[in-house]
Amino acid sequence: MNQTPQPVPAVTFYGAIPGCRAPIRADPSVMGTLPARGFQYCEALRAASSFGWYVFPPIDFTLQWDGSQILWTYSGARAWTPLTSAQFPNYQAAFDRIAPARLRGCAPPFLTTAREPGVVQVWTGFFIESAESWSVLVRPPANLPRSLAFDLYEGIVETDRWFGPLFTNLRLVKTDVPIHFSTETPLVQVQPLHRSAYADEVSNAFAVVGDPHAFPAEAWERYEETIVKPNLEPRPAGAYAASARRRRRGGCPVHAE
Amino acid sequence: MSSKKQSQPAVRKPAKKISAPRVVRSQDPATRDPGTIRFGFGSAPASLRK
Repeated sequence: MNQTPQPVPAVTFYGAIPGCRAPIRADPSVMGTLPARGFQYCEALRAASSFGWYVFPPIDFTLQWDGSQILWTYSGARAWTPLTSAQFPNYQAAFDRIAPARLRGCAPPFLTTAREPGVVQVWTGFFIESAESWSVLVRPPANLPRSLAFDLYEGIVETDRWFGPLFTNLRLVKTDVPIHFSTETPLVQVQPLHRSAYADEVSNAFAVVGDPHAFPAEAWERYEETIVKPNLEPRPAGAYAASARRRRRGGCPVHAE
Repeated sequence: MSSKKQSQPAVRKPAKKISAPRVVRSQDPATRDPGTIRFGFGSAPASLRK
């Protein structure tokens, strides 16, 4: 039974660039890329894949890194340009028309290079806020095969206290090839995290039983229940998935009694 | 026994090399950034000294 109501919505995305593709709920089939068997029977895959929201690049753009300098171009541009920092195309004027007068000239940049070689900060075109005590984990889309041309850093932001641009940092890996970013492919997956879930007290409080001789009887019984019995007395495929979904429908997982 | 010569795999042309950007301009007026606003770890000082 829920004692504390879930914040609704837990996270709000503010579209700061008119016309950008809106975030969508992350997809249990990872946009159709999961193996059908995994999608149908593996609740662990489905749950991890559909946790949170996909956020897309605000425009199709391409980066090329030669190991020192980064060039970039975007859909509609007639040339490439060396990148240090760049506004979303024609955004500065649009921002100045929309924002309060005191904020004119203060549009956030779309792309910014860091001092570290090959590192680029990308703004998604959205601002973000979350309900009190909720943060967001900004990470690569879960279980979506990744480009070998770049890596994404992950970050947890206390977006209940920090209202600002939803961005990510990527590290270019390949040199001398165009690296394309499309509005058709999610750039990041944003996942809500209750602050209590990643508190130091939680991460520091863990136990290890290093020797199977020391396993308590209960551990063996649980192994028997979850692994051995289903093998010796086969149950319908997907029994774990069905039971997990039943439990999930039963109430709020954070505030369950 | 006729020794039929095994056909060789067709010689593949090397993959077309992706050409480097052909037109590079030093600046694009549509994306010029005045540099007023910075955020994220890129805005942190490079020095580790506090």
